[in-house]
Amino acid sequence: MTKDIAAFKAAGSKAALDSLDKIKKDDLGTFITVCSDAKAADSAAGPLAGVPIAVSDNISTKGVETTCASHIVKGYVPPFSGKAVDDLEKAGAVIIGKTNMNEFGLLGAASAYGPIKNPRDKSKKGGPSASAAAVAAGEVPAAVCSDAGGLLRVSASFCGTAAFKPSYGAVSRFGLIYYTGSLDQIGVTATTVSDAVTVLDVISGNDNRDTTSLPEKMNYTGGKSLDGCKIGIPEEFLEDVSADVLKTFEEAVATFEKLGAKCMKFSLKTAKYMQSVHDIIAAGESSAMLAKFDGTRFGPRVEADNWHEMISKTRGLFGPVAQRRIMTGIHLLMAGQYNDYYMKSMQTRTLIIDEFESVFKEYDLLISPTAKTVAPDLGGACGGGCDLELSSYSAAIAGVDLAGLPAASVPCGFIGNLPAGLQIIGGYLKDADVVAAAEAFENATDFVKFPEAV
Amino acid sequence: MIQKDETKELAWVARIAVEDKDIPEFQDKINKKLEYYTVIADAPTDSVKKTVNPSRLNTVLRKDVVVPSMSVEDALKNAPDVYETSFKIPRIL
Repeated sequence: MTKDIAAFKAAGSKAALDSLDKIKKDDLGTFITVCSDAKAADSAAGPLAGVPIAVSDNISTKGVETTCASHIVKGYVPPFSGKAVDDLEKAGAVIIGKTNMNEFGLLGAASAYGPIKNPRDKSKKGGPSASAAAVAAGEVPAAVCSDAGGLLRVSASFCGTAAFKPSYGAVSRFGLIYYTGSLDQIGVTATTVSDAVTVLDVISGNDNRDTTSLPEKMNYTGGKSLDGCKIGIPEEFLEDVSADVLKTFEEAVATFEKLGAKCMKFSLKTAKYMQSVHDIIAAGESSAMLAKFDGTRFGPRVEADNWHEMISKTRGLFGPVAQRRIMTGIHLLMAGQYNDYYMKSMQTRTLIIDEFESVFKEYDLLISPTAKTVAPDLGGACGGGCDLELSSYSAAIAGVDLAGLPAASVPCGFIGNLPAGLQIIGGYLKDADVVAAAEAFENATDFVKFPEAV
Repeated sequence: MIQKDETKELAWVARIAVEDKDIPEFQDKINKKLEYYTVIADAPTDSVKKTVNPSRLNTVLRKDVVVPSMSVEDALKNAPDVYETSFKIPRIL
Protein backbone atom coordinates (compact mmCIF):
# COMPACT_ATOMS: atom_id res chain seq x y z
CA MET A 1 0.00 0.00 0.00
CA THR A 2 1.07 3.60 -0.49
CA LYS A 3 2.95 5.35 2.32
CA ASP A 4 3.33 9.08 2.60
CA ILE A 5 6.37 11.09 3.70
CA ALA A 6 5.17 11.16 7.33
CA ALA A 7 4.88 7.36 7.40
CA PHE A 8 8.43 6.94 6.09
CA LYS A 9 9.72 9.60 8.51
CA ALA A 10 8.07 7.76 11.39
CA ALA A 11 10.22 4.73 10.53
CA GLY A 12 13.28 6.85 11.34
CA SER A 13 16.59 5.26 10.37
CA LYS A 14 14.72 2.16 9.11
CA ALA A 15 12.92 4.12 6.37
CA ALA A 16 15.54 3.51 3.69
CA LEU A 17 15.82 -0.18 4.61
CA ASP A 18 12.03 -0.56 4.45
CA SER A 19 12.08 1.03 1.02
CA LEU A 20 14.92 -1.21 -0.22
CA ASP A 21 13.14 -4.27 1.14
CA LYS A 22 9.96 -3.38 -0.70
CA ILE A 23 11.87 -2.70 -3.94
CA LYS A 24 13.68 -6.06 -3.64
CA LYS A 25 10.32 -7.86 -3.67
CA ASP A 26 9.09 -5.77 -6.59
CA ASP A 27 8.31 -7.51 -9.87
CA LEU A 28 6.84 -4.39 -11.45
CA GLY A 29 9.98 -3.24 -13.27
CA THR A 30 9.98 0.06 -11.39
CA PHE A 31 13.73 0.49 -10.90
CA ILE A 32 16.68 0.27 -13.29
CA THR A 33 19.28 0.84 -10.58
CA VAL A 34 18.77 0.40 -6.85
CA CYS A 35 21.21 2.11 -4.46
CA SER A 36 21.38 -0.93 -2.21
CA ASP A 37 23.76 0.68 0.27
CA ALA A 38 21.63 3.82 0.52
CA LYS A 39 21.07 5.05 4.04
CA ALA A 40 20.45 8.33 5.78
CA ALA A 41 23.51 10.30 6.78
CA ASP A 42 24.03 10.27 10.55
CA SER A 43 23.74 14.02 10.52
CA ALA A 44 20.70 14.05 8.22
CA ALA A 45 18.53 17.04 8.89
CA GLY A 46 16.05 19.00 6.85
CA PRO A 47 12.52 18.58 5.59
CA LEU A 48 13.25 15.19 4.01
CA ALA A 49 15.67 13.82 6.64
CA GLY A 50 15.99 10.06 6.13
CA VAL A 51 13.16 9.91 3.57
CA PRO A 52 13.80 7.62 0.57
CA ILE A 53 13.13 9.35 -2.74
CA ALA A 54 13.31 7.85 -6.24
CA VAL A 55 14.75 9.73 -9.20
CA SER A 56 14.00 8.96 -12.84
CA ASP A 57 16.88 7.48 -14.79
CA ASN A 58 17.35 10.53 -17.00
CA ILE A 59 18.42 12.72 -14.06
CA SER A 60 22.16 12.59 -13.36
CA THR A 61 23.27 11.06 -10.06
CA LYS A 62 26.96 11.31 -9.20
CA GLY A 63 28.53 7.86 -9.04
CA VAL A 64 25.26 6.06 -9.87
CA GLU A 65 24.67 4.70 -13.37
CA THR A 66 22.22 6.84 -15.37
CA THR A 67 20.93 5.20 -18.55
CA CYS A 68 17.80 7.08 -19.73
CA ALA A 69 16.50 3.51 -20.19
CA SER A 70 18.48 3.36 -23.43
CA HIS A 71 21.13 0.94 -24.63
CA ILE A 72 23.09 3.93 -25.95
CA VAL A 73 23.67 5.38 -22.46
CA LYS A 74 24.28 2.05 -20.71
CA GLY A 75 27.24 2.18 -18.36
CA TYR A 76 27.29 5.97 -18.05
CA VAL A 77 28.17 6.99 -14.48
CA PRO A 78 27.81 10.78 -14.16
CA PRO A 79 30.67 12.65 -12.50
CA PHE A 80 28.14 15.14 -11.11
CA SER A 81 24.56 15.21 -9.86
CA GLY A 82 21.65 17.20 -11.22
CA LYS A 83 20.64 20.26 -9.21
CA ALA A 84 17.43 18.50 -8.10
CA VAL A 85 19.43 15.56 -6.73
CA ASP A 86 21.87 17.84 -4.89
CA ASP A 87 18.93 19.72 -3.37
CA LEU A 88 17.24 16.50 -2.26
CA GLU A 89 20.41 15.29 -0.55
CA LYS A 90 20.92 18.66 1.15
CA ALA A 91 17.36 18.32 2.49
CA GLY A 92 18.34 14.97 4.05
CA ALA A 93 16.64 12.71 1.48
CA VAL A 94 18.07 9.30 0.64
CA ILE A 95 18.28 8.69 -3.11
CA ILE A 96 17.07 5.11 -3.17
CA GLY A 97 17.38 4.38 -6.88
CA LYS A 98 16.70 5.27 -10.49
CA THR A 99 13.26 4.58 -11.89
CA ASN A 100 12.50 2.90 -15.18
CA MET A 101 11.05 4.93 -18.04
CA ASN A 102 10.41 4.86 -21.77
CA GLU A 103 13.70 5.35 -23.61
CA PHE A 104 14.67 9.03 -23.05
CA GLY A 105 11.05 9.59 -21.97
CA LEU A 106 9.79 9.25 -25.55
CA LEU A 107 6.14 8.20 -25.56
CA GLY A 108 5.62 4.98 -27.46
CA ALA A 109 9.29 3.97 -27.06
CA ALA A 110 10.16 0.86 -25.08
CA SER A 111 12.53 0.89 -22.13
CA ALA A 112 15.71 -1.11 -22.72
CA TYR A 113 15.06 -2.53 -19.24
CA GLY A 114 11.64 -4.06 -19.76
CA PRO A 115 8.04 -3.00 -19.25
CA ILE A 116 6.65 -0.98 -16.35
CA LYS A 117 3.74 -2.79 -14.73
CA ASN A 118 0.91 -1.08 -12.92
CA PRO A 119 0.85 -1.88 -9.17
CA ARG A 120 -2.95 -1.79 -9.19
CA ASP A 121 -3.18 -4.39 -11.96
CA LYS A 122 0.01 -6.03 -13.19
CA SER A 123 -1.53 -6.81 -16.57
CA LYS A 124 -1.73 -3.04 -17.25
CA LYS A 125 0.90 -0.42 -18.04
CA GLY A 126 2.27 1.63 -15.15
CA GLY A 127 2.86 4.57 -17.49
CA PRO A 128 5.71 5.92 -19.57
CA SER A 129 7.64 6.51 -16.32
CA ALA A 130 7.80 4.14 -13.34
CA SER A 131 7.97 7.02 -10.87
CA ALA A 132 4.24 6.88 -10.12
CA ALA A 133 4.26 3.05 -10.00
CA ALA A 134 7.05 3.17 -7.37
CA VAL A 135 4.93 5.55 -5.26
CA ALA A 136 1.69 3.60 -5.76
CA ALA A 137 3.47 0.38 -4.77
CA GLY A 138 4.58 2.00 -1.49
CA GLU A 139 8.27 1.70 -2.36
CA VAL A 140 8.88 5.43 -1.90
CA PRO A 141 6.65 8.29 -0.75
CA ALA A 142 7.69 10.51 -3.65
CA ALA A 143 9.61 10.41 -6.90
CA VAL A 144 11.24 13.10 -8.99
CA CYS A 145 10.69 12.74 -12.71
CA SER A 146 10.88 14.79 -15.88
CA ASP A 147 7.75 15.61 -17.82
CA ALA A 148 7.49 16.21 -21.54
CA GLY A 149 4.33 15.06 -23.22
CA GLY A 150 2.88 13.59 -20.03
CA LEU A 151 5.70 11.37 -18.77
CA LEU A 152 5.00 12.39 -15.17
CA ARG A 153 1.30 13.35 -15.29
CA VAL A 154 0.00 10.45 -17.38
CA SER A 155 1.94 7.93 -15.28
CA ALA A 156 0.35 9.46 -12.15
CA SER A 157 -3.07 9.20 -13.77
CA PHE A 158 -2.55 5.50 -14.60
CA CYS A 159 -1.32 4.66 -11.07
CA GLY A 160 -3.54 6.94 -8.94
CA THR A 161 -0.87 9.23 -7.48
CA ALA A 162 -0.69 13.00 -7.27
CA ALA A 163 1.74 14.81 -9.56
CA PHE A 164 2.83 18.38 -10.03
CA LYS A 165 4.68 19.94 -12.95
CA PRO A 166 5.57 23.54 -12.09
CA SER A 167 5.82 26.57 -14.36
CA TYR A 168 8.69 26.38 -16.83
CA GLY A 169 11.88 27.47 -15.06
CA ALA A 170 10.78 26.80 -11.47
CA VAL A 171 13.05 23.74 -11.17
CA SER A 172 16.52 23.76 -12.71
CA ARG A 173 17.10 21.11 -15.40
CA PHE A 174 20.85 21.07 -14.76
CA GLY A 175 21.79 17.40 -14.91
CA LEU A 176 18.56 16.33 -16.63
CA ILE A 177 19.33 14.47 -19.85
CA TYR A 178 16.39 15.82 -21.80
CA TYR A 179 15.51 15.18 -25.41
CA THR A 180 13.43 18.31 -25.93
CA GLY A 181 14.76 21.28 -24.01
CA SER A 182 11.95 23.73 -24.58
CA LEU A 183 9.30 21.22 -23.43
CA ASP A 184 10.95 19.06 -20.77
CA GLN A 185 10.70 19.99 -17.12
CA ILE A 186 11.21 18.34 -13.75
CA GLY A 187 8.23 17.60 -11.50
CA VAL A 188 7.26 15.37 -8.60
CA THR A 189 4.79 12.57 -8.00
CA ALA A 190 3.73 11.52 -4.50
CA THR A 191 0.85 9.98 -2.60
CA THR A 192 -0.68 13.40 -1.92
CA VAL A 193 -0.46 16.89 -3.42
CA SER A 194 0.95 18.17 -0.15
CA ASP A 195 3.83 15.64 -0.25
CA ALA A 196 4.55 16.46 -3.90
CA VAL A 197 4.79 20.14 -2.98
CA THR A 198 7.06 19.39 0.01
CA VAL A 199 9.54 17.78 -2.40
CA LEU A 200 8.99 20.37 -5.10
CA ASP A 201 9.74 23.17 -2.66
CA VAL A 202 13.09 21.51 -1.88
CA ILE A 203 14.16 21.30 -5.55
CA SER A 204 12.86 24.69 -6.70
CA GLY A 205 15.03 27.77 -6.96
CA ASN A 206 17.34 29.71 -9.23
CA ASP A 207 20.35 28.00 -10.80
CA ASN A 208 22.70 29.84 -13.14
CA ARG A 209 23.60 26.54 -14.83
CA ASP A 210 20.14 26.49 -16.43
CA THR A 211 19.50 29.71 -18.35
CA THR A 212 15.73 29.13 -18.24
CA SER A 213 15.77 29.05 -14.43
CA LEU A 214 13.45 31.63 -12.86
CA PRO A 215 15.27 34.35 -10.90
CA GLU A 216 13.10 33.91 -7.80
CA LYS A 217 12.17 30.69 -6.00
CA MET A 218 8.58 29.66 -6.71
CA ASN A 219 6.17 30.03 -3.81
CA TYR A 220 3.65 27.18 -3.80
CA THR A 221 1.59 28.45 -0.85
CA GLY A 222 -1.18 31.02 -0.49
CA GLY A 223 -3.15 30.09 -3.61
CA LYS A 224 -6.70 31.25 -4.28
CA SER A 225 -9.61 29.53 -2.59
CA LEU A 226 -12.02 27.60 -4.80
CA ASP A 227 -14.90 29.63 -3.41
CA GLY A 228 -15.89 31.95 -6.27
CA CYS A 229 -13.13 30.56 -8.49
CA LYS A 230 -13.88 30.50 -12.24
CA ILE A 231 -12.80 27.23 -13.85
CA GLY A 232 -12.72 26.80 -17.61
CA ILE A 233 -13.12 23.47 -19.39
CA PRO A 234 -11.76 23.53 -22.96
CA GLU A 235 -14.21 21.41 -24.97
CA GLU A 236 -11.39 20.23 -27.23
CA PHE A 237 -9.64 18.65 -24.20
CA LEU A 238 -12.63 16.30 -23.82
CA GLU A 239 -12.52 14.94 -27.38
CA ASP A 240 -11.87 11.19 -27.69
CA VAL A 241 -11.92 10.74 -23.91
CA SER A 242 -13.37 7.33 -23.02
CA ALA A 243 -16.91 7.34 -21.62
CA ASP A 244 -15.88 5.97 -18.23
CA VAL A 245 -13.07 8.51 -17.76
CA LEU A 246 -15.45 11.27 -18.88
CA LYS A 247 -17.90 10.17 -16.17
CA THR A 248 -15.23 10.54 -13.47
CA PHE A 249 -14.38 13.96 -14.92
CA GLU A 250 -18.02 15.08 -14.76
CA GLU A 251 -18.14 13.97 -11.12
CA ALA A 252 -14.98 16.01 -10.48
CA VAL A 253 -16.69 19.05 -12.02
CA ALA A 254 -19.61 18.53 -9.61
CA THR A 255 -17.13 18.40 -6.70
CA PHE A 256 -15.57 21.70 -7.76
CA GLU A 257 -19.05 23.25 -7.97
CA LYS A 258 -19.83 22.00 -4.44
CA LEU A 259 -16.62 23.66 -3.27
CA GLY A 260 -17.87 26.99 -4.59
CA ALA A 261 -16.23 27.13 -8.01
CA LYS A 262 -18.05 27.99 -11.22
CA CYS A 263 -17.14 25.61 -14.07
CA MET A 264 -17.81 26.60 -17.68
CA LYS A 265 -17.05 24.93 -21.00
CA PHE A 266 -15.51 26.99 -23.78
CA SER A 267 -13.72 26.45 -27.08
CA LEU A 268 -9.92 26.75 -27.20
CA LYS A 269 -9.27 27.55 -30.85
CA THR A 270 -5.57 26.64 -30.96
CA ALA A 271 -6.13 23.21 -29.35
CA LYS A 272 -6.25 21.53 -32.78
CA TYR A 273 -2.64 22.53 -33.44
CA MET A 274 -1.17 21.53 -30.07
CA GLN A 275 -0.13 17.93 -30.65
CA SER A 276 1.34 18.59 -34.08
CA VAL A 277 3.29 21.62 -32.86
CA HIS A 278 4.53 19.68 -29.81
CA ASP A 279 5.65 16.82 -32.02
CA ILE A 280 7.42 18.96 -34.62
CA ILE A 281 9.29 20.93 -31.95
CA ALA A 282 10.14 17.78 -29.97
CA ALA A 283 11.42 16.06 -33.13
CA GLY A 284 13.54 19.02 -34.18
CA GLU A 285 15.01 19.43 -30.71
CA SER A 286 15.67 15.70 -30.28
CA SER A 287 17.65 15.55 -33.49
CA ALA A 288 20.02 18.10 -31.95
CA MET A 289 19.91 17.06 -28.30
CA LEU A 290 20.48 13.37 -28.92
CA ALA A 291 23.37 14.10 -31.30
CA LYS A 292 25.85 13.88 -28.42
CA PHE A 293 25.36 10.12 -28.18
CA ASP A 294 27.98 9.07 -30.70
CA GLY A 295 30.30 6.63 -28.90
CA THR A 296 32.94 9.27 -28.28
CA ARG A 297 32.56 10.78 -24.82
CA PHE A 298 30.23 8.43 -22.92
CA GLY A 299 28.15 5.32 -23.29
CA PRO A 300 29.08 2.23 -25.25
CA ARG A 301 30.85 2.22 -28.62
CA VAL A 302 30.31 -0.24 -31.44
CA GLU A 303 33.78 -0.65 -32.90
CA ALA A 304 34.33 -0.03 -36.61
CA ASP A 305 37.20 0.74 -38.99
CA ASN A 306 36.45 4.41 -39.34
CA TRP A 307 34.79 7.23 -37.43
CA HIS A 308 31.61 7.58 -39.56
CA GLU A 309 30.90 3.85 -39.41
CA MET A 310 31.60 3.77 -35.67
CA ILE A 311 29.11 6.58 -35.02
CA SER A 312 26.41 5.07 -37.26
CA LYS A 313 26.70 1.63 -35.72
CA THR A 314 26.82 3.04 -32.20
CA ARG A 315 23.73 5.17 -32.85
CA GLY A 316 22.03 2.00 -34.06
CA LEU A 317 21.77 1.32 -30.30
CA PHE A 318 18.94 3.87 -30.08
CA GLY A 319 15.57 2.14 -30.10
CA PRO A 320 13.52 2.44 -33.31
CA VAL A 321 11.20 5.17 -31.97
CA ALA A 322 14.18 7.34 -30.98
CA GLN A 323 15.78 6.69 -34.38
CA ARG A 324 12.65 7.76 -36.22
CA ARG A 325 12.25 10.82 -33.98
CA ILE A 326 15.80 11.96 -34.79
CA MET A 327 15.38 11.31 -38.52
CA THR A 328 12.03 13.12 -38.59
CA GLY A 329 13.59 16.06 -36.77
CA ILE A 330 16.41 16.29 -39.27
CA HIS A 331 13.92 16.21 -42.15
CA LEU A 332 11.85 19.01 -40.57
CA LEU A 333 14.91 21.19 -40.04
CA MET A 334 16.15 20.87 -43.64
CA ALA A 335 15.98 24.03 -45.75
CA GLY A 336 13.13 22.74 -47.95
CA GLN A 337 10.83 22.00 -45.03
CA TYR A 338 11.97 24.41 -42.31
CA ASN A 339 9.52 27.25 -42.95
CA ASP A 340 6.47 25.04 -43.44
CA TYR A 341 7.04 22.92 -40.36
CA TYR A 342 9.54 24.10 -37.75
CA MET A 343 9.21 27.88 -38.17
CA LYS A 344 5.45 27.51 -38.56
CA SER A 345 5.34 25.51 -35.30
CA MET A 346 7.34 28.11 -33.39
CA GLN A 347 4.95 30.79 -34.63
CA THR A 348 1.89 28.67 -33.83
CA ARG A 349 3.36 28.15 -30.37
CA THR A 350 3.14 31.93 -29.92
CA LEU A 351 -0.55 31.80 -30.89
CA ILE A 352 -1.11 29.01 -28.36
CA ILE A 353 0.61 30.95 -25.55
CA ASP A 354 -1.31 34.11 -26.47
CA GLU A 355 -4.62 32.26 -26.37
CA PHE A 356 -3.83 30.73 -22.96
CA GLU A 357 -2.93 34.19 -21.63
CA SER A 358 -6.20 35.57 -22.91
CA VAL A 359 -8.14 32.62 -21.44
CA PHE A 360 -6.54 33.12 -18.02
CA LYS A 361 -7.88 36.68 -17.96
CA GLU A 362 -11.33 35.07 -17.97
CA TYR A 363 -10.70 31.95 -15.86
CA ASP A 364 -8.59 31.27 -12.73
CA LEU A 365 -7.94 27.65 -13.66
CA LEU A 366 -8.58 25.13 -16.43
CA ILE A 367 -9.36 21.45 -15.93
CA SER A 368 -9.30 18.37 -18.15
CA PRO A 369 -8.91 14.61 -17.84
CA THR A 370 -5.16 13.90 -17.47
CA ALA A 371 -5.32 10.87 -19.79
CA LYS A 372 -8.05 9.84 -22.18
CA THR A 373 -8.26 6.33 -20.79
CA VAL A 374 -7.26 4.36 -17.72
CA ALA A 375 -4.03 2.36 -17.91
CA PRO A 376 -3.98 0.26 -21.10
CA ASP A 377 -2.88 -3.36 -21.37
CA LEU A 378 0.80 -4.24 -21.19
CA GLY A 379 2.21 -4.94 -24.61
CA GLY A 380 -0.75 -3.41 -26.39
CA ALA A 381 -1.43 0.09 -27.63
CA CYS A 382 0.10 2.67 -25.32
CA GLY A 383 -2.74 5.17 -25.35
CA GLY A 384 -3.20 8.52 -27.06
CA GLY A 385 -0.89 9.20 -29.95
CA CYS A 386 0.87 5.86 -29.69
CA ASP A 387 0.24 4.66 -33.21
CA LEU A 388 1.75 7.83 -34.57
CA GLU A 389 4.55 7.82 -31.98
CA LEU A 390 3.56 11.36 -31.01
CA SER A 391 5.51 13.23 -28.34
CA SER A 392 2.42 14.03 -26.25
CA TYR A 393 -0.54 12.02 -25.04
CA SER A 394 -3.17 14.64 -25.86
CA ALA A 395 -3.76 18.28 -26.68
CA ALA A 396 -4.44 18.88 -22.98
CA ILE A 397 -0.94 17.65 -22.13
CA ALA A 398 0.79 19.20 -25.15
CA GLY A 399 -0.71 22.67 -24.63
CA VAL A 400 0.50 22.83 -21.03
CA ASP A 401 4.05 21.94 -22.15
CA LEU A 402 4.08 24.39 -25.04
CA ALA A 403 3.03 27.30 -22.82
CA GLY A 404 5.15 26.22 -19.82
CA LEU A 405 2.12 26.26 -17.53
CA PRO A 406 1.89 24.71 -14.06
CA ALA A 407 -0.33 21.62 -13.87
CA ALA A 408 -1.27 19.03 -11.30
CA SER A 409 -2.78 15.60 -11.77
CA VAL A 410 -4.88 14.15 -8.98
CA PRO A 411 -6.93 10.94 -8.91
CA CYS A 412 -10.60 11.69 -9.59
CA GLY A 413 -12.20 8.27 -9.61
CA PHE A 414 -11.77 4.59 -10.29
CA ILE A 415 -12.98 2.39 -13.08
CA GLY A 416 -12.82 -1.01 -11.47
CA ASN A 417 -9.40 -1.12 -9.86
CA LEU A 418 -7.87 1.46 -12.17
CA PRO A 419 -7.68 5.16 -11.39
CA ALA A 420 -8.50 8.11 -13.64
CA GLY A 421 -6.70 11.42 -13.28
CA LEU A 422 -7.83 15.03 -13.31
CA GLN A 423 -5.49 17.69 -14.68
CA ILE A 424 -5.68 21.14 -13.06
CA ILE A 425 -3.93 23.85 -15.08
CA GLY A 426 -2.97 27.32 -13.92
CA GLY A 427 -1.71 30.46 -15.60
CA TYR A 428 2.06 30.94 -15.98
CA LEU A 429 3.61 31.40 -12.49
CA LYS A 430 0.23 30.78 -10.84
CA ASP A 431 1.51 27.53 -9.34
CA ALA A 432 0.10 28.31 -5.89
CA ASP A 433 -3.45 28.51 -7.28
CA VAL A 434 -3.06 25.05 -8.84
CA VAL A 435 -1.73 23.62 -5.56
CA ALA A 436 -4.59 25.15 -3.55
CA ALA A 437 -7.23 23.77 -5.95
CA ALA A 438 -5.60 20.32 -6.11
CA GLU A 439 -5.36 20.10 -2.32
CA ALA A 440 -8.97 21.26 -1.88
CA PHE A 441 -10.15 18.66 -4.41
CA GLU A 442 -8.06 15.94 -2.76
CA ASN A 443 -9.44 16.82 0.68
CA ALA A 444 -13.01 16.77 -0.61
CA THR A 445 -12.62 13.32 -2.13
CA ASP A 446 -11.20 10.02 -0.97
CA PHE A 447 -9.45 8.75 -4.07
CA VAL A 448 -5.91 8.79 -2.65
CA LYS A 449 -6.92 6.04 -0.22
CA PHE A 450 -8.84 3.73 -2.53
CA PRO A 451 -8.21 1.07 -3.58
CA GLU A 452 -4.93 -0.19 -2.19
CA ALA A 453 -2.18 -1.00 -4.60
CA VAL A 454 -0.22 -4.22 -4.11
CA MET B 1 6.10 12.80 -48.45
CA ILE B 2 9.54 11.23 -48.42
CA GLN B 3 10.67 8.47 -50.76
CA LYS B 4 12.74 5.38 -49.99
CA ASP B 5 16.02 6.93 -51.11
CA GLU B 6 15.31 10.06 -49.04
CA THR B 7 14.68 7.87 -45.99
CA LYS B 8 18.07 6.23 -46.50
CA GLU B 9 19.62 9.67 -46.89
CA LEU B 10 18.02 10.82 -43.62
CA ALA B 11 19.45 7.80 -41.82
CA TRP B 12 22.88 8.66 -43.22
CA VAL B 13 22.61 12.33 -42.17
CA ALA B 14 21.45 11.23 -38.72
CA ARG B 15 24.42 8.81 -38.60
CA ILE B 16 22.13 5.93 -37.70
CA ALA B 17 22.77 2.51 -39.18
CA VAL B 18 19.35 1.39 -40.42
CA GLU B 19 19.17 -1.92 -42.24
CA ASP B 20 17.69 -1.86 -45.74
CA LYS B 21 14.86 -4.16 -44.69
CA ASP B 22 13.73 -1.58 -42.10
CA ILE B 23 13.72 1.40 -44.47
CA PRO B 24 10.09 0.89 -45.75
CA GLU B 25 8.76 0.88 -42.15
CA PHE B 26 10.74 4.04 -41.32
CA GLN B 27 9.51 5.70 -44.51
CA ASP B 28 5.89 4.77 -43.78
CA LYS B 29 5.95 5.95 -40.16
CA ILE B 30 7.69 9.24 -40.94
CA ASN B 31 5.23 9.90 -43.79
CA LYS B 32 2.24 9.25 -41.52
CA LYS B 33 3.58 11.96 -39.22
CA LEU B 34 4.18 14.41 -42.05
CA GLU B 35 0.58 13.86 -43.10
CA TYR B 36 -0.60 14.45 -39.52
CA TYR B 37 1.35 17.72 -39.39
CA THR B 38 -0.64 19.24 -42.28
CA VAL B 39 -3.21 20.44 -39.71
CA ILE B 40 -0.94 23.38 -38.82
CA ALA B 41 -1.02 24.75 -42.38
CA ASP B 42 -4.10 26.87 -41.66
CA ALA B 43 -2.74 28.44 -38.44
CA PRO B 44 -2.88 32.24 -38.95
CA THR B 45 0.81 32.93 -38.41
CA ASP B 46 1.45 35.85 -40.78
CA SER B 47 3.68 38.38 -38.98
CA VAL B 48 3.55 36.28 -35.78
CA LYS B 49 6.85 36.11 -33.87
CA LYS B 50 8.32 32.70 -33.11
CA THR B 51 8.56 31.23 -29.62
CA VAL B 52 11.71 29.18 -29.01
CA ASN B 53 10.87 28.30 -25.43
CA PRO B 54 8.08 29.19 -23.00
CA SER B 55 10.35 31.10 -20.62
CA ARG B 56 9.34 34.74 -20.42
CA LEU B 57 12.91 35.66 -19.41
CA ASN B 58 15.12 37.81 -21.57
CA THR B 59 18.58 36.57 -22.49
CA VAL B 60 20.22 35.42 -19.28
CA LEU B 61 23.94 35.97 -18.94
CA ARG B 62 26.10 34.82 -16.06
CA LYS B 63 28.86 36.97 -14.63
CA ASP B 64 32.01 36.81 -16.74
CA VAL B 65 34.13 35.17 -14.07
CA VAL B 66 35.98 31.89 -13.99
CA VAL B 67 34.24 29.24 -11.89
CA PRO B 68 35.36 25.68 -11.15
CA SER B 69 34.59 23.24 -13.97
CA MET B 70 34.78 19.50 -14.50
CA SER B 71 38.26 18.00 -14.19
CA VAL B 72 39.83 16.36 -17.25
CA GLU B 73 39.89 13.08 -15.34
CA ASP B 74 36.15 13.22 -14.69
CA ALA B 75 35.42 14.27 -18.28
CA LEU B 76 37.31 11.24 -19.62
CA LYS B 77 35.98 8.75 -17.08
CA ASN B 78 33.05 7.59 -19.23
CA ALA B 79 34.78 7.65 -22.59
CA PRO B 80 35.02 4.35 -24.50
CA ASP B 81 38.63 5.14 -25.46
CA VAL B 82 41.11 7.85 -24.45
CA TYR B 83 44.62 8.95 -25.34
CA GLU B 84 46.38 10.91 -22.62
CA THR B 85 44.00 13.85 -22.02
CA SER B 86 41.88 13.40 -25.15
CA PHE B 87 38.97 11.31 -26.40
CA LYS B 88 40.25 8.76 -28.89
CA ILE B 89 38.24 7.88 -32.01
CA PRO B 90 38.89 5.62 -34.99
CA ARG B 91 40.50 7.15 -38.08
CA ILE B 92 38.22 9.52 -39.99
CA LEU B 93 39.36 8.69 -43.54
